[in-house]
Amino acid sequence: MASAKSADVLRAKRDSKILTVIIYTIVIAFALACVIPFLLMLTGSFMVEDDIRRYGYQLIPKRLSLYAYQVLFIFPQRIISGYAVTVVVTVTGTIVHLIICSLCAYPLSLKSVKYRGIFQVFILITMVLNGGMVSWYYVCTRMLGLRNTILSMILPLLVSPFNVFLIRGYYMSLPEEMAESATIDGAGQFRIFWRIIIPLSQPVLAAVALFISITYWNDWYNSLMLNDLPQYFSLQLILHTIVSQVQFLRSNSYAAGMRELVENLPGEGVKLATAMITVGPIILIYPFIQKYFVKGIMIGAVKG
Amino acid sequence: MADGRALKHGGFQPVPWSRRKGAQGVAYEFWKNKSLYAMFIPACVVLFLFNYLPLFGLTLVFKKFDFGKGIFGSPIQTPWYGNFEFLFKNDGVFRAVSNTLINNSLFIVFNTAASILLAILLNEIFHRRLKAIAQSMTLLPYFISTVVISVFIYQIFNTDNGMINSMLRSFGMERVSWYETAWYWRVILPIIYVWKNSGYMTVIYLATITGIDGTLFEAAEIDGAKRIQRICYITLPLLIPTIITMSLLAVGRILNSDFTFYYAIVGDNALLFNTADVLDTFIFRNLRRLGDFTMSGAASFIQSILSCVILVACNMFARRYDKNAALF
Repeated sequence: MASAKSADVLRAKRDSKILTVIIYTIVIAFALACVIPFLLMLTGSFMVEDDIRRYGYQLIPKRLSLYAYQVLFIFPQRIISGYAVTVVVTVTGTIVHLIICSLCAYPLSLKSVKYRGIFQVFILITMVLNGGMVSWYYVCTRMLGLRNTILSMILPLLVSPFNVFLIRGYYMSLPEEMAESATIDGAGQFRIFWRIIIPLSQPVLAAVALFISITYWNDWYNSLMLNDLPQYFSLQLILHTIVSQVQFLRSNSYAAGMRELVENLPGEGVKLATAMITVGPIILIYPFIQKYFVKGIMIGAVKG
Repeated sequence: MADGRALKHGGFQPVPWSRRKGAQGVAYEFWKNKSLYAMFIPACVVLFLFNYLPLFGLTLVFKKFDFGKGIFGSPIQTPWYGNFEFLFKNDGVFRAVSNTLINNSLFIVFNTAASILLAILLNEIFHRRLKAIAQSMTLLPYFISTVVISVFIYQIFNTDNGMINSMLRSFGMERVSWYETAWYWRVILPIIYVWKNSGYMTVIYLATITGIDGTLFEAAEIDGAKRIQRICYITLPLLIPTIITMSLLAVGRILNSDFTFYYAIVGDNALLFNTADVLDTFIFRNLRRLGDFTMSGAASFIQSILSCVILVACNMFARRYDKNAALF
């Protein structure tokens, strides 16, 4: 390790300085470009509406105001119910997704399960062929009756074939002897699965949990397709509704001569504040768990 | 398990099922491993409901759809290809297909190029801490929902007080109506896509680069290879297998777009449809806004079947190239 590091330093010294500077500049610029929009959004949500209009967005605002957040919380029911929906969906969805996928992956990983191939093909087909948006929508609304239920946001994402195969790959890398000796001791398959396989598979399960919880948190496709009633709107869909309403008014105000009215909408600040509330949890925990994201992607890329 | 228990109790030991003649059939296998097969059930039920039922629903495309009777009760359309005729009379579908293909091609090319470049540059950074921080910063947009991203895309491009227009105004230039001119978005959309997704691909490429045998670089260094030469003659050639397989997998999904990406950023803004209306948004609009099951169903059918064919073909190539890299 130490020698590798000194070799790095040596190499860095020998190469031309200009190139090093260029490389560092590009990387840092790109990294900043990925983060600054979120910072601008954060400060923008605390700016005075008038200042936004006059000076544009600033990293360090001249005047601070909580106006946007106050407007947002005049009617807190909407935001609170959105948060409740999103949290419930994310938590239950993540737990059930983990249980179902890790259960399904276990027999797929065992050679002693003779017909595992059939199930593997059954799962693989869903990765390749899908019924498309229209018949999916028809099945969800007409046959399963998911319209305007909280289940409509949980059920469609419960199984991810990719995650199943990912977990299976990890199981297959575990030593077989452990499960065998447990069998000899008289343990049933569920017991082996729960007591031996699951504790040994924590890295891959953590990665899957991380990614699926983000997926649930960010998902608004299912919510948009299947829900009309505001009490079932997830946080993301509420944000989208606010955004498209303001945008709609803006883009149609020129002809209708409503310019004056639209100008006075507390538009931008409120949008930014809602967006901040929506991404808040992700941005807040991201610095602490970022290395797990990188690790998780790597586990997925190496795959089984 | 059965054997072990029988031994423990001693005495009577029945002939194991597996040694009895004719008892090795399908039913026996299921019975013997019943708890293992039971573990398949939850996943298979979910997949059946949300993936297999819609497949049966594809027959919708040949039906004269009547909402009251449902897909399976509706009579067959006469002629059976009537719904496709109806679809192809609509100019929107051709625009949607070409936009899907053009936009996705741009996304694949630029995203691959950007993430390879970023991976190589990150690998050249020798401050480990800076490298790790920079990498997780570039990964952040990947985990942010498309709605939130659409909010600040709007902050950047809106006509009245967007960042770009404010800048133009401060230079004394005319402001540009970004949201009313379609062709700008041919450029803007790929930029947003690359910004959002390149961090993810970078992780994969960087992992491949770190996996390269270090002695190769050392040998090259002894031979006097400069940094650029090391990149061109060692890193890039060794990245090619990964590039090919990742690109093939991306091309396999070339007919599918991230619906929420377009719908959040462009929405129902018809002024931008010339470059930003793709198959998924076309289908969505006809289905949810116009309630037209037959036309959107036909478009959806074509998308499903064609993308299945393309995906299988791409996967076959990927498999031929590298057996481990293929999806299946």
